[in-house]
Amino acid sequence: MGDTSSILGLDRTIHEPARFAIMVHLYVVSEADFVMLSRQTGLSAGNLSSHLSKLEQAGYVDVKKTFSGKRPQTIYRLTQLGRTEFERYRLQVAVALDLD
Amino acid sequence: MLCIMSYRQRTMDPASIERKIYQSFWNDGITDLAVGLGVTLVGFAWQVDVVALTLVIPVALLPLWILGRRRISEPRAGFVRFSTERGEKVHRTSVTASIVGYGVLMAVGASYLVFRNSGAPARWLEPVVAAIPMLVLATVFLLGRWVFDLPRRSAVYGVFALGVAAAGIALALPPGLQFVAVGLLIMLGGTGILWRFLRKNPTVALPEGDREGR
Repeated sequence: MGDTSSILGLDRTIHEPARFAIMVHLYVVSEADFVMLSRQTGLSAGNLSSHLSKLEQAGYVDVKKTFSGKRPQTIYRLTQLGRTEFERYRLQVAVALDLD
Repeated sequence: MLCIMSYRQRTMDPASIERKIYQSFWNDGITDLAVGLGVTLVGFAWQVDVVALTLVIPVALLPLWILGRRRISEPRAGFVRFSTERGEKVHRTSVTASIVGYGVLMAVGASYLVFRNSGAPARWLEPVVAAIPMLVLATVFLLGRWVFDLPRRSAVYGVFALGVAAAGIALALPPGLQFVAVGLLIMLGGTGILWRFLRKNPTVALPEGDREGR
């Protein structure tokens, strides 16, 4: 076991399982829309929407509303702050669990 | 809590998630249908000796593929733009594969010409030369699986194309016919995948706040 004290400093906005799933999916792509996030995370539309709002309020996610033809499309991407905080979160977990 | 985090660490590996998203991007059957249709039409064009059409067909099918993605796939599976690293990897590998493929084609073509002009028995080489386009196509599908991370069926198409090329050499089949056979198989696969995709992925109802574009 590594430094467990780092667990206490984990970012609780990211630590929530649904938000962690959203963050990890946005971390690996450049941007994704609401439908794609819903499909990939398995979260319901309402649940996903509420967690995305929290991430947006924290400044971790940037939202862009647009149209694809006549279809409205909401596109999300991680902000630089979101990306940095997610990397820090991963590092803290890795240190706590002694992972390489 | 530690167990949960360890579980997350194992199952939420970013690289494998990115690969999963990338592979699911191709799982709508639309690309298979477009590629299958393209390969079949190229085969027909070759069969009826209108080889110039083979250059136009891929370009003509691209808007159809884009339309299919926009109208059928995106409302159901969503939109994603992959990272620049993924784009660069695809670009780099495509360029390398094209250079190698072009080099192999030139080498085989040159040896065929040398054989033919030297009066050596080039007859047996003719079916081999006729199978080269199919061998190149098979290589593209196999590279698609192992280099570009495409879904497993890309390798299946590659192996089938290799089989068709082998049959082409044994039975002296013209390249056009070989292309039609492989194209029809890919279209058949694409139809099945599209049917499954539509059944498994109804359109997602967006919550109120996400309905209004700007």
